[in-house]
Amino acid sequence: MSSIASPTLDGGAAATADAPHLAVRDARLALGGRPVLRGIDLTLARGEVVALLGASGCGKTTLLRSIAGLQQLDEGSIAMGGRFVQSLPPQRRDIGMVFQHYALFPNLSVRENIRFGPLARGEDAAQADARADELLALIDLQAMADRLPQALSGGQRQRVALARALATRPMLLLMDEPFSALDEHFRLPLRRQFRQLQRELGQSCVIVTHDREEAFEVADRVAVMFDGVIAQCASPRELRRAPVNRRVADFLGMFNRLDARTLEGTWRRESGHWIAPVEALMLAGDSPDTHGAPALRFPATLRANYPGQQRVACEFEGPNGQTLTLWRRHEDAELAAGSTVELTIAEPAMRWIED
Amino acid sequence: MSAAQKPPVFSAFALAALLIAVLVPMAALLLYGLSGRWDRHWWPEAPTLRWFGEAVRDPRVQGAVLRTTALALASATLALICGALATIPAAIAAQLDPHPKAAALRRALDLIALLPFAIAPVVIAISALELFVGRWGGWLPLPLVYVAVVAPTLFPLIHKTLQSALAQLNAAALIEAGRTLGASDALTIRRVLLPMLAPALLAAFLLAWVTAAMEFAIANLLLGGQLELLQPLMNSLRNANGHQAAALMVLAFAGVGAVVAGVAALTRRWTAVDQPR
Repeated sequence: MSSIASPTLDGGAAATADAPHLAVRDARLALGGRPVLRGIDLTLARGEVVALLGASGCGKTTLLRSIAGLQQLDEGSIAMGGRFVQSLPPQRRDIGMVFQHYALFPNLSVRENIRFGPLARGEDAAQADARADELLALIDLQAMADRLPQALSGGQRQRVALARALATRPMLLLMDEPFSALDEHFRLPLRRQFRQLQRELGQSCVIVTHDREEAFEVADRVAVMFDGVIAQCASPRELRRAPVNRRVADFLGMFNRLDARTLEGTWRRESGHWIAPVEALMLAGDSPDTHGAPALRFPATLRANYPGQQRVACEFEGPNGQTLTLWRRHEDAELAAGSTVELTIAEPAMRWIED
Repeated sequence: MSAAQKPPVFSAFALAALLIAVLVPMAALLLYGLSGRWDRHWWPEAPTLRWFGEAVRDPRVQGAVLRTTALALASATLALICGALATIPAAIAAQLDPHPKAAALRRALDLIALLPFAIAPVVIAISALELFVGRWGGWLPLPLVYVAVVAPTLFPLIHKTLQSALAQLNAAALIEAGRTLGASDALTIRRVLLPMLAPALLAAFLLAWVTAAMEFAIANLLLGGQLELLQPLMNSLRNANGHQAAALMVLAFAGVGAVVAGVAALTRRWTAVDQPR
C-alpha cells in the first residue's frame, strides 16, 4: 500500500501506532440546504466493528460516504490512523468499500473484479493474481473465478464485493447495508461468515445498517443515529442495559416502556419513563418466586396474539393505554383477546429514563 | 394475451392507420420498381428486375453511393466523437454530483440536442452557404463544410442513446466503486464503462450514419452543383426514369433496414446482458 502524506493528529510526520483507526470529529454537512450531519463524533479502534444504525434519512450512509471520501464535509475532520484525510480523494484514503448493491464491474470476471484494486494501486500482475487467489479461497469461490458477476447468486456477489474491497488490504472496511439486498435465509449465515472472517483478519470496519439484529450481531459497538446525530454509541450489551433516552429505547424495539407519571406508589415519577427488556414482562402467575422482592404489578388487557417463528408475541394495553409486549412460548396456553390479566416486571429489570 | 391485457380498440386502429400510411407508399414503390410500365391501368404491368439491375450497374449511382457512404461516415464519426466527449462526462457528472452546476450542464446538452429538431435542414443549409461559401469560408472544401454542417444535426441521436445507456449502467456507482479501489476515473471509464458502452456507441454510430446518408436538403443545396449524393440523385432520376428511381429507393430502403435491424439486435443483446438476475 502506498503511503499517504497528510497532516497528523499530533502534528507529527507519521501516524502513531496507538492512534484510533478512525476518528471523526464534529462532522457537519448540509445537502440542498437540509442539515444531514450535525456534529458527528465517532472513533474506531484497530480491529473493531462499529455499526451505524438508524432509520432511512438519518444520515448514516452520508456519514459512511464522507469517511470514504465520496462526499465532502462542510465542517469537521476525519483522521485515519492518525492522519487527517478529509481533504483527500477516495483513491488516497486507505479504505475498501462494499456498496449496497455491490457495484461489481459487470464486464469483468470475478477474478478481474478482485484484481482491479491492487492493479489500480500499482501492484504488479503477479501480486494481484496471488492476492485474488488468496481471497477467492477465503470466500470459497475459486470455481467461479472466471464467471461474470451476472452469473452469480446474490450471496456470491456479496462475497465477491467483500473480497474486492479487501483486496487492497485496506486499513478500514466500509460497508453500506451489505446484507440488505439478500433474501433473509441467506442473510444470517452470510453475516455470521463475515463476522468470523473479520475477526480472523482483525479488520477494522464501519457498517451501515437499518437492521437492529444485524447491528447487534456483527458490531462491537452500535452507533444509533437520528436526524444527523449519534444519539448513543455503545456495545450491544450496554445498549441493552442502558439506552440513553426514550427515543433510543423505542428505536431498539427491545423494551417495554411505561410512562412514570401514570404509575402508582413508589414507581410514580413527575417525568420520565420506566423501561424493561421485553423478556422481563411476565404474567403475575408465571413470575418466579422472588422471595418478596419488589416488582411492578399492573392489570393489562390483551389486544391480540402474534405467533412468530420463535415465540408468541402478546400485545397488551397497559396503564393509560400504553402498548406492551409479552413473549410467551408456543406451548403455553393461549390467552383470549380482550381478557384482562395481571402483569409483573421484577424491579432489577426496571430502569428509569428521561423523556 | 388475456382479454384484460388487450390494448384498446382505438389504439389498434391508430396503429393500423400508421402502418398503412408507411407501408402503402413503400409497397407502391416496390411494385413500380418491379414493373415495366404502370400508366395504362390501375395495376402495374410487365414485371421485371431490369430497373434494379440497371440501378446497381449505373456508374452514376455507384459514384453517388460511394460519396454518400463516405461523407455520411465522416459526419457520423465527427458526431460520435464530439457527442461522446460531451455526453459521457456530463452524464456521469450529473449522476455523481447533485450540485446544480452538473444538472445545468446536463440540461444545456439536452437543449442543444433539441436544436436540430427546431431548425429546418433548409435553414441550416442556407446558413452554411452564406457563412462558409458566400462570405468567409470560400477557401474551405465543400465536402468538409458538408460534414461539419451535418454532424451537429446527428448530435441528438448520439446524445440520447449514450445518455440512456449510461443511466442503465448506473455509471456513477461504478465510478465510485473504482475510486474506493484506488482507480482514477479515467481508468474506470477505460476498463469498465467504455467496453460496456461499446454496443451503445456502435448503435448510435450506425443510426447517425444512416440518418446522414438519408439527408436530402443540405446535400442538395450545399453540394448539388459539385458532388452528387444519393438522395438528390434519386430525386433527379425520378424525372428521367421513375421506375429506376423507385428501384433505387427500394434498394436504399433495404440497406437502411439492414442497418437498423443490426442496431436493434445490438441493443437487444446489450440490454439482455445488463438485466439484473
